[in-house]
Amino acid sequence: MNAVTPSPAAPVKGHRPAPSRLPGLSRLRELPELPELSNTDLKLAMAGSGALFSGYVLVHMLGNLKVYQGEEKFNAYAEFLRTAGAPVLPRGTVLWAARGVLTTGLVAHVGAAAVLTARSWRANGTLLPRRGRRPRGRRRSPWAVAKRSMRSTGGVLGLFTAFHVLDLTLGARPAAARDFEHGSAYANLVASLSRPPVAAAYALSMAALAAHLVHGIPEIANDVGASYDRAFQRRVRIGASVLGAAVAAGNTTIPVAVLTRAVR
Amino acid sequence: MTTLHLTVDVWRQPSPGEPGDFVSYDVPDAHPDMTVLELLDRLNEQLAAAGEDPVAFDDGCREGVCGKCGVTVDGVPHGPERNAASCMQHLGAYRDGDRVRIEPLRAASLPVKRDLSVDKKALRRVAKEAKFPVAMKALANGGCISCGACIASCPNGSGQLFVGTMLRELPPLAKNEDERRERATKVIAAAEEEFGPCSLLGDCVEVCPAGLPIENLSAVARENLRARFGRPAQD
Repeated sequence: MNAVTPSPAAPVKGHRPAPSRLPGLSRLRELPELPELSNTDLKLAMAGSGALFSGYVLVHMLGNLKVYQGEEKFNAYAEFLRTAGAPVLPRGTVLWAARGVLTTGLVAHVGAAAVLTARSWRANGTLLPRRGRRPRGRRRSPWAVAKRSMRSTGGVLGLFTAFHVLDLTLGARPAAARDFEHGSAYANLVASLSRPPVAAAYALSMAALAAHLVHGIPEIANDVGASYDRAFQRRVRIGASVLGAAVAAGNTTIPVAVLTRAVR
Repeated sequence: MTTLHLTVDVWRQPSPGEPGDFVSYDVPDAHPDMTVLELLDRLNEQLAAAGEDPVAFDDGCREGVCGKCGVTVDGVPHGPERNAASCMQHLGAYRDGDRVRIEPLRAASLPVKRDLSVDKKALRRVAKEAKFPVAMKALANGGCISCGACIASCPNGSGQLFVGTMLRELPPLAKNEDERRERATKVIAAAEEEFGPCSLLGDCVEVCPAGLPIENLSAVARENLRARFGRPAQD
């Protein structure tokens, strides 16, 4: 059996080579290892942050639907998010606290996903030097593929979130519409979604969100040890489908409404 | 009896350290009720008659219960039929003139020994952490035959179905709560060395010849949380 030789890449401080007692892995690239974080720990971090985001997108969608109550009520809600806790809390406290929690969750979720992805590539044979690709597996429907492609749908959601913040929070061009105005939440929403490419991108992102939730929520149950009961697992799957469909559909009505001038 | 003239692309690899590649062979007289292993037998008869090296492959009871056999057929571990070992997979889906691609079970934890034969010691190494006879009893109680197809089918190379089945059946076999937690912790740590993380993709339950249920995956997280945060008095 060949001795394991580390790759010639410059060793990164704090990392050690992936432990390997398998023959044939001597040319395995050094992967950043976090030896103190087990897969089960990382999955718990993803489950917690995933649950946070699942709850968040539901609440956010319900807030978004206030657009149908008209400009005054929608803008009042946006203002409420900034003045919540007044007069005890300074302006924006609750909002910034929520942003802090979400950002922490994002770092945990993406960081854990990155490490788990590296470990899965190491384990599934992708990194082994071998001619020919990894076996493709069964053919599946596009929706089934979308549900399984959590890294891809997650990536789409990450890009969407970045665009969304630039568009409707920061008002940064070219993401935001030309007539963005801080404090005019309703007008900014209508201006942004009146641009058909943006409306389409938002709608497609909602499809990605649906796929991500429909598979992700059962993963949460699985990774906290709750899915050992078949009946509970089925209820979780049904709930995930309902939540995924509701959030995606609820949000998607808004660009449709703006483009059809039902909301203007 | 329908005869199938098949082109079989077989992975040939002389030893673990050497590179392998697909080699195409003609099998002019296959038929639909042949199993995958019988197809390989027929190919080997041809090769022997021509004085060439036969294709090495893992073989056992030929009844789908021992867990020794297993090849990847057209990208799917064991074969196109769900929940059947390679020795029980028939060629019914193939038509005359079709191409069949046969390679070993693919995972970093299942290194190729020769041609289609892989080393399944990773499963034993994980089982040993629970005391081997106890692990074997747990797996048997759960129905697992340790064929390794779940690992090969998983896009993450995870052994969660194998480990989860073992952990699900370990508690009744442990002497007390401490032993249960200790063994579960060791098994999970060993599994993390050998296998990848689980993402509930479900490919494993599609290929498992024992038909193990997807709920078994959750036993890993359950035993892990119990070992780390469970109250001492609970059972």
